[in-house]
Amino acid sequence: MDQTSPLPQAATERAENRWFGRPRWGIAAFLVFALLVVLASSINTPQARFFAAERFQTFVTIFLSLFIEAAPFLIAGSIVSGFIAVYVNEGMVERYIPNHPLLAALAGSGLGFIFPVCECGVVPVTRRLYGKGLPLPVGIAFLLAAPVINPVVIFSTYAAFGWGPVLWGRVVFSMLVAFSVGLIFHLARPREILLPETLAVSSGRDDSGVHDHSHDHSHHHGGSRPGVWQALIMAGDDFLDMGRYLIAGAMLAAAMQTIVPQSTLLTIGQGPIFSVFVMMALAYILSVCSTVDAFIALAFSNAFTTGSLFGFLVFGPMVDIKSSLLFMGVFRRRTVLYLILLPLALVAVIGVFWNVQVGV
Amino acid sequence: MSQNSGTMTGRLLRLPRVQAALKGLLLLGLGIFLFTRITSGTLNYYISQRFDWLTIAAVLGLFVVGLSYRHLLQEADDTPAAPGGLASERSGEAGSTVAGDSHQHGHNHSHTLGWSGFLLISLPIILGLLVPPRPLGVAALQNREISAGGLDSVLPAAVGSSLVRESSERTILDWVLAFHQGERPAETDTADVVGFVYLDDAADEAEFTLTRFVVGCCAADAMAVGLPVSLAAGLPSEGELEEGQWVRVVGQFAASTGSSIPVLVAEKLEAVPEPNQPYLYP
Repeated sequence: MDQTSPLPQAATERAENRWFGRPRWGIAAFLVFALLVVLASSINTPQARFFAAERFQTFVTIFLSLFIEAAPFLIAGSIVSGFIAVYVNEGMVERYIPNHPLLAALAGSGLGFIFPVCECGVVPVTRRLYGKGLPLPVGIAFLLAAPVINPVVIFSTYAAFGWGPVLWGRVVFSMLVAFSVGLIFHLARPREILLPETLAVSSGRDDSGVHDHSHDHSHHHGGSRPGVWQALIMAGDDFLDMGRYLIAGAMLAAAMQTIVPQSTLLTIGQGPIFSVFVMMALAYILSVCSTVDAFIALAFSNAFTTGSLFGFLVFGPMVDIKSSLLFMGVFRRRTVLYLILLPLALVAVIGVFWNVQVGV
Repeated sequence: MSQNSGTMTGRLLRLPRVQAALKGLLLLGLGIFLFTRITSGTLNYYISQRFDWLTIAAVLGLFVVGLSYRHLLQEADDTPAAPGGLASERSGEAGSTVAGDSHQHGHNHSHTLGWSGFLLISLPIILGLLVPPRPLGVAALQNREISAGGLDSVLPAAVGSSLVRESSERTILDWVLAFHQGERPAETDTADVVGFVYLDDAADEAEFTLTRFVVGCCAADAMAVGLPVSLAAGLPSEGELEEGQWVRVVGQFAASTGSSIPVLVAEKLEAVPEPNQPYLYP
């Protein structure tokens, strides 16, 4: 895409945003609508129409509940991100984040203890930190681990399962997967992984000097404005940027929840291997917040293997419909795919291994 | 949709003042929308009571952030070069000429929202206004058979702390938890529970399942719990019951025939309005 235009590099990137960047979520929303229209058109009898109306009502209720539940976390994450933008400079990021890839990935997966954010809040914060020159492995490990490795979620898991293999396994395996995936991305270059607009706030280091510090935000040279307002305006921009993905994701998740019968998934999902995949699929579709997913897993704990519970409790917070759409606001599409598939593969291996070898 | 950037309205939309005003208004609108859900008492159709304070915090956050765009508007006013259509066009086509030379430039990157972006973000407001707020009902049970029918898998003992309650004060959830913990109904136990009617054909001796949704966090994680209810002589028969109708049932549990949830024999059955708190919380 970059080579097709005669415009200078920076302008090409901007053009790319305009022509390829913006319609992405427009397409997502359109697909959801198309799905609904197709469903609506297959309804002929009055009874079916009644049920369709009821289902649409259910869809709206679930969509709004996901949005209302996630909005506080997203606005909090955006405000933190806005203040990072104004008050944190790159030197600070470089000073406090270790350089060695192993340590960096480890630091990233433990960062959630310091920034207790859930899966919605973590995305704008990570995006902003990337703009400040955060190394790739740290951000990715943080992104994947923070929804689990934070005091609130650990406590809710404890409340649901007590001290036991589920709690410890959840914490240890989440860190392990986040650490491994983070480490894998150590080899990649930021430009190949991140969207141009994510990098746009960063220094000219990675670029040919076209980007300078004042490039991204004209807010920077609004010298008359106090830093707090500047931070809040950036928070608003971030919220609206990320909100698009949140809303598209919440719509998809609500549509899936209204259309796909849970029982179908659960009846095919028996056995040590299948059950893991089914619980991961369920976690992906439900898109519930990581602070409560332990209680939902509890509902399945009698019928399902412990390994499959790990599938639900480790994979779900890392990636679900909602968060994979949010990722699209930070990473290139190919990266988002890796960020879904790598945790999927790792968690599947862990879950199946647990079922076959440990079997508690 | 992306074609908008070429049209007149698209260009108008890209003006920094318009962007700032619309963004600020949109954030305020979302805040007001959430606020009306709090004041109308329908917030708990969506999320658990425990998280009400989060929504209040979100309203405050959205207001503060939305109002901060006022500063951006003032700045756009102060900008000597009036941001006319021409200026916007120029920066739109050659925005990279000199980085950071003008305000128009800075706003021409990804933070600029198009029509579809504004539309997408106002979807919660639009859908919220078009579709009257209702809690989850029978329709949501259609693909949640697992918890409605297979009650055995619902909510094992760990959540329950409610067994101390008087039997007449117990909710459907309390009873289901009690039976899961191996408690058998005593002769003297009288249940007095409120729920909605779900006419499933799963239970043999029961007429319907008296159902409530249990919500941990938000309606997306709702699970259904239910008690099978049979009707004592003289009460309206199954045919007269409307699915989804909220009812209060007073009665005693029949002697258990092995299944984990005994049938509740209704001695009194009355229609009640939908409760203010339609969900139960563990």
